Amino acid sequence: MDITLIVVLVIALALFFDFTNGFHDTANAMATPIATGAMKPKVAVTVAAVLNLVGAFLSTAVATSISHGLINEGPGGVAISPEMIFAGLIGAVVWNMITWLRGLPSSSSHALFGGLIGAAIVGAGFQSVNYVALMTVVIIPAFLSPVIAAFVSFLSTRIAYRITRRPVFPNERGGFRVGQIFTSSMVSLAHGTNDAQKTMGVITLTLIASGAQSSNQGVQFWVVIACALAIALGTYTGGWRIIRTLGSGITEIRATQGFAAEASTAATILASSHLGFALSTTQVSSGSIIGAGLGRRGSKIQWSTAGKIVIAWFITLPASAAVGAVASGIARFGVVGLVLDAVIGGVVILGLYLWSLRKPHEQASAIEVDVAANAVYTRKELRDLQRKKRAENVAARRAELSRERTLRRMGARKGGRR
Amino acid sequence: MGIDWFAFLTVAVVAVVASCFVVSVYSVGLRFWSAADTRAGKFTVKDDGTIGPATAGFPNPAGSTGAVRGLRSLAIACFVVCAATVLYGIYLIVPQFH
Repeated sequence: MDITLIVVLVIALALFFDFTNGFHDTANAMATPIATGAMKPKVAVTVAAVLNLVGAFLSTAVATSISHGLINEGPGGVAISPEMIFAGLIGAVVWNMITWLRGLPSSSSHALFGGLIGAAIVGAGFQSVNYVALMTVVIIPAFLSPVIAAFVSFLSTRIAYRITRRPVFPNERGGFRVGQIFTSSMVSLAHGTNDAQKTMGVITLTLIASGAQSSNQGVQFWVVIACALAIALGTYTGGWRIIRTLGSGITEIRATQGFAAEASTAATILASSHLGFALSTTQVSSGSIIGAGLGRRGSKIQWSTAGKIVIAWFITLPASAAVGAVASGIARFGVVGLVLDAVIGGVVILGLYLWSLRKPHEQASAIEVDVAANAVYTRKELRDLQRKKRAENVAARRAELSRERTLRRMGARKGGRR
Repeated sequence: MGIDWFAFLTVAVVAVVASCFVVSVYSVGLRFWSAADTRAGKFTVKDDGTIGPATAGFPNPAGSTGAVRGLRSLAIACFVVCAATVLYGIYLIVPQFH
C-alpha cells in the first residue's frame, strides 16, 4: 500500500509534536546549569540541541515499545487508523502548547500517550488499548520514576556535600560547576534517547496502521533522522518559561545540587531507556530537583510550586486524552471531519502562539506569582544586584552624614548662619 | 503479559549505584584537587579551620613537586574514572556495539 495524504499529514504533525517536545524539555537538562551560571543560556541551548540530535540515534528500545504493543494493532486486535493517530497528536500538541504557555513542566510523553489513548478509545472502542502494556510502560513508571529520581538525587546530594565538607578545604565546590556542564550534557543525551524515540514510535505506528510497513519491522532510518532533526530544532528554540520555573521556582539550586540532580536524572533516564520504559524526562528531572533541594541542609523547597507541577502531571494524561477523544470523534465524519480537525487544531495552536506573543513571558505564567520574587538570576547577576544595592545604601548614608556634618559645622560657627 | 516488577527494581538499583558512584568519585577528585592547591600554597588553613590568603611565595616552584603532583594526579585519575563510567554507560545502551 502506498503512502497516502493522511499518512503524510500525520507524519508532519508528529514532527511538529517532536518540535514542541524539544522546546518544552530544554528546561529539564539546562535549567540548572543556567540557574547556577555554569553555562550561558545560548551555549547551553546549543549544546542541548546537538546532544539531543546525537542521542536520538543511539537507541530505539522506547520507540519499539510504543509502536509495538501499547495500542493493539494488526490482525489480533482492533486495527487503528492513521486518522485516530492524527486526532491523538492534535490532543498532544494542544496540551503541550497550553502547559508551555503557563510555564508548567508537564510531561510531553504523557500528553502524547493521553492523546493517543483518548483517540483510540473513541475511534475504536475500549478494547483497542492494551491496558497491561499501558500500566507497565506508562502509568507505573509515571508514579515510580519521580520518586526514584528524587531518592537518588537526595542521596547523591548528601554524598557530594559530605565528601566536600567545609571548612577543611577551600573553594572546591566551584568544581561542581565544571562537572555540571558534563552532567547536563548527559541529561540532554538521555532526553534524545528517550523523547525523540516517542515520536519515532508514533510515526512507525502510523506506517504500520496504514500498511506501509509490516508490524514486525523495526524503526526505519529516515524516521530516525527526521525525528532527531525536529527535536534538535525544538530544543534550540528553547522554552524559557519552563526554564525559569525549574531553575528557581522549586528551590534555589547550587552547583553541587545541580551536579547531583543531573547525574541522577541522567542515570535514571538512561537505565529506563535501555529497558524500553517511556518515562517522562520532565518528571524525572523535577523529581531530582526536589530531591536535591531536600538534600542540602537549609535549602527551602517551594511546595506550592512543586504542588502545582505535580497536579499538572496528574491532569496531563486525562486532559490530552479528552482533547484526543474529541478530535477523534470529529474525525469519524470521514474526510470532512478530518479537515475540520486539522483546521480547528491549527487555529488553536496558532491562537495559543499569538497569545504567548501578546503577553511577553515576563508576565505570562500562572505560577509566576510564586516565581516572580526570584526570577532566574544567575549567581553573578545576583551578586551584582546585591553589590549595587549596597553601594546605593552606602552613598545614601554618606550623603546623609555629610549633610549632618555641614549642619553641625554651621551651628558651631560664631554668629550662627550667615 | 504480567507487570515486570523486576525491571523497575533494576532501573532503581542501577540509577542509585551509577549516580552515587559518579558523584562520590567526582567529589573525591575535587577534594584531592583542593588538597593539592592547599599544599601548593594557594590557600592557608588557619587554626580555627577557616581559610586564609595565599602564602607569600605562591605560585612557588617548590610547591609543585612531590606531594602536590601526586595529589593532582589522583584528582585527575578520579575525573577519568567518572568519564570512563559515563562512556561505559553509553556503550551499554547502544545496541550497535553489541
